[in-house]
Amino acid sequence: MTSHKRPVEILLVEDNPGDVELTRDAFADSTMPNHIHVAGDGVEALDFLHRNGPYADAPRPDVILLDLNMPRMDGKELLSLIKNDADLKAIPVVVLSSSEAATDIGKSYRLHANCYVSKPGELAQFMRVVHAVEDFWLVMATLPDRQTPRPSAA
Amino acid sequence: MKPNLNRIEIPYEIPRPKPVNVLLLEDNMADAELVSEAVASDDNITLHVIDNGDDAFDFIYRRNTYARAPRPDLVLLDLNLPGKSGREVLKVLKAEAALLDIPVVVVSGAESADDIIEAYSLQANCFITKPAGLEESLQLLRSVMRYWLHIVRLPTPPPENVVIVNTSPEHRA
Repeated sequence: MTSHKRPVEILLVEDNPGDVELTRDAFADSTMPNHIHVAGDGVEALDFLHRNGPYADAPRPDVILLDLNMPRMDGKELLSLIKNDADLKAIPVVVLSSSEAATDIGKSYRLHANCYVSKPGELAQFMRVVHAVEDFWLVMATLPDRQTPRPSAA
Repeated sequence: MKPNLNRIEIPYEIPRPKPVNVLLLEDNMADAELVSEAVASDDNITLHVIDNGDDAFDFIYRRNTYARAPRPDLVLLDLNLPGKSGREVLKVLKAEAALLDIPVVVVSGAESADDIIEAYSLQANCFITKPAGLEESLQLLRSVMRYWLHIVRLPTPPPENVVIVNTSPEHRA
């Protein structure tokens, strides 16, 4: 498992405020200190990842949780952009989706999603699933560790 | 505080292949035994163990002795595989259009931060560092398998009449 010398930085790309709160709750329980940054859609997520505008001081996420169904930019499009970017592709992307369609699952893996997890509709099951995601990625797996320095003003 | 590695609760049964074919690429027999033990209680798992890169490619491309090999639903890959290195296997698995959707769990002893970043950049689905102790290793493997087989949705394989064409230049037969 990763030995974290600093809190794990997580980018949650999710437009449903209820799901955001539940996810925050689940991760707050983790034995590993972590910060959750929320982007409400793919455009905001890209600004965060590229440290544009208000996100100039944003940390590089150690892991990204991505809901597929979002306004402005389809989650699969964001996934594709991340996994084709030399700077960003090493960041694990966990797709969290209410879709169980085989086509969504297959497409996500072909776009190099690190894993695809279905979001259950029922609350207790949802929390167990999110806890499992937190446990696996923050405790069991070894995350890539590369906090890139902020680019200096050119 | 030592984390409880067994915390993953299975909330409900997700649809998954029957059986799940797990390909283990591991040359250390003791480590292979551990994986075998970790999946022993799940009778829906068929574990295929291969200990070198050349056979790994034969299995993946279904040729020679492995002409009838099933398509793996999940690959556990030790980076330090002899023959062709684990890295080479990872590269091929993630470059072949017909194979790149298969999740690859890289397992390794402690590697440098750069090696870990490289594995993820090569699109390894995750990286697991083998702990030192036997009991810890077994617990970790059980939880890892529980995550990938009971929480994660695995991709559905293509229909059986799809032939995997070897398009990778280094491995033309």
